[in-house]
Amino acid sequence: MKYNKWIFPFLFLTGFLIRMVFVPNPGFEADMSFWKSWGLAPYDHDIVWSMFNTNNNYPTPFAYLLWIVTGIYSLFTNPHNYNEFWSNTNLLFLTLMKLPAILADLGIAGILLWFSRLSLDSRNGVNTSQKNPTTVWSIILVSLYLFSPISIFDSAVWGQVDSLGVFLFLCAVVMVLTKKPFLAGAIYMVALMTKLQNMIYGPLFFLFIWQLVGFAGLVKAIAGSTLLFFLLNIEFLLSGNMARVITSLTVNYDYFPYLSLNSYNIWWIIAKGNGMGVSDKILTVGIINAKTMGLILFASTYLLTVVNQLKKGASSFFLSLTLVVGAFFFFQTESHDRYLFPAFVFGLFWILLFVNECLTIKDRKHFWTTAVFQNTVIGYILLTLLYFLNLHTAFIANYPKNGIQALLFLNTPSWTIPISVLLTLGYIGFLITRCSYLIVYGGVILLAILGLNTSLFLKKPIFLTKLSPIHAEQQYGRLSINMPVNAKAEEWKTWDRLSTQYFFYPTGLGTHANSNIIYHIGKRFTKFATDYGIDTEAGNQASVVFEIYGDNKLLFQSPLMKRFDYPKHIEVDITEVTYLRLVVNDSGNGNIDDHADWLNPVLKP
Amino acid sequence: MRAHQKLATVRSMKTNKNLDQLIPLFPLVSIGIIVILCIAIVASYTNTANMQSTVILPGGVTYTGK
Repeated sequence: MKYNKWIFPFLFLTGFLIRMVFVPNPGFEADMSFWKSWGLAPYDHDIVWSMFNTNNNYPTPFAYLLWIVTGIYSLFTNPHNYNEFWSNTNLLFLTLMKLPAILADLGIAGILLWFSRLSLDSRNGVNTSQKNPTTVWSIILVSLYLFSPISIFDSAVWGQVDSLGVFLFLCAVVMVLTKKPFLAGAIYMVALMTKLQNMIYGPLFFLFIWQLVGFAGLVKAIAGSTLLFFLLNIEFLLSGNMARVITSLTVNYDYFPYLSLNSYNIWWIIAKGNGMGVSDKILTVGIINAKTMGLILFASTYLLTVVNQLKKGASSFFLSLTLVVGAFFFFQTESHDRYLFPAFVFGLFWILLFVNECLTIKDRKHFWTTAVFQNTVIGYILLTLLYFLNLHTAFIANYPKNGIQALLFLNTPSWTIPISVLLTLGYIGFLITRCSYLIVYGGVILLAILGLNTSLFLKKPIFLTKLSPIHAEQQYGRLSINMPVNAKAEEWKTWDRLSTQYFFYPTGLGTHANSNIIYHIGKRFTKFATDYGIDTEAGNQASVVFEIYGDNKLLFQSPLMKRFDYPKHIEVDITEVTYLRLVVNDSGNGNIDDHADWLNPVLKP
Repeated sequence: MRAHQKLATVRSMKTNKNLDQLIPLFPLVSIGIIVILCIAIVASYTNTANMQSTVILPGGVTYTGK
């Protein structure tokens, strides 16, 4: 008797049941409570209200999903039963909230199954009319995803929705492959609005559409995306609140300004395993800070992948997607632990296409015996295990009770750094071996680094405002660059240009006592020169003292400065200084009217 | 040539093997796995239901009910 037709139902059912075993785990409790808060608010009020009255920092339509989950929850029990609803062991909520991601896991496996059965022609995309006769590929790919510790952990244990975002994106890709560009564009927007990370695939995705369906297809796809963008945000559009939608797309920028948010990447290594304890405004090469360096590396890699995709074909597309996700995770600062997840999905599609490309038609029939298949899959499994350790350790760093107790010992730099090194080397090795034009790639990075350091090489002074502080605190308003402190407080706006007693300055820092601003200058400069004074916008009671510290040693203290004093000038020696600290104190009489400016502050190499 | 064809045939036969040949007693094994997983699910739900729970509220500007 043949049981072959039962293998896929068995694999899918097993994959589902394994996940259900982990559903009762309280998961990442902060995330679960955010889902509750962001779902209960639209349930009680409406979507627009919820976006203005919670700290929901996801794209706006994601709130609909949470609202639906809360709505289904309310069919069984009252979500206003405070202790029951907000309990970390709320089994009903855990089940309902983790189900979408679990079903998305099954959906991803389903798309892998569909894709692996297609006849492959990597030069022209996929011909959907012919079936690939071998089921072995399908079994391997579906199993590699369904039984991957990464996908099980992310969806069923953690309670995150990464797989939902990837699934929706893959649905859009399916639409491209079946030549339905309008739907492809529309579904892509749904994916983007569910998980913002899908935004980074945009250029590659639309390039793929252009390659496969032509320019007319590209236009249709853009039309589909645009239409869905407005449809998904219709409530905001009708109520005149589209600004909130835009905010939701940009609010995460510089939200956690640290080297690595538990991502085991190059910055985790540089931070010696303390990625969340080091600002990403520290200088790296010359005067380029870590964040900018990460952007240079990411942008250069993105360019490389676009060039790579010009070769056309689904193989190049999935390779480019995998590399872009990797660059986003490994090179950028402020990268979250979960950002690498999609690479392990796109990687499976790429493995199928890549191995088939490498083999002759005859060898494809017994592909699993070939070195190219075995090496690729072993590499994939090793990277999967390493990345699982990253995810799991990030999880237990917050919720040790909810993780695997036998792996708690991994939460120390002596383990996380070697894992980061292996993961990063795995990615860089993959990048180098799979891409052409590496010399141009390296050249672009080098040029960017040299270009941004021109002043330093030419020994020209640079404005302090070109650097970003690693720490800035003040008792009123926010640090303003090239503007007085009130320029950003619209209701009090007086001037938008720095000045002291009507001496106007184009450059400087507008702050307010008591303030403490720290720059990492990494011993790259010898002198620091600046003017200073009370801003003309300040009231008559202003009185402050300016202080400059180099590595916590007082280098300069000003006399008492008052509202009608003219600006003064100072130059201090900062040779061998790593941290330059600018302090404005209220001189002991309270901080009323103390609008203080550092004017034309200059660092001299 | 003949030897090569023979080799290819053998490999081809391997490809066409049925699951019951690859995994002896496939139905029994698969049903066994599914039953074990179902028991594990019940155990997992029971275990969490018996756990001491904590009320976890979201941090920051947020909403906890009417």
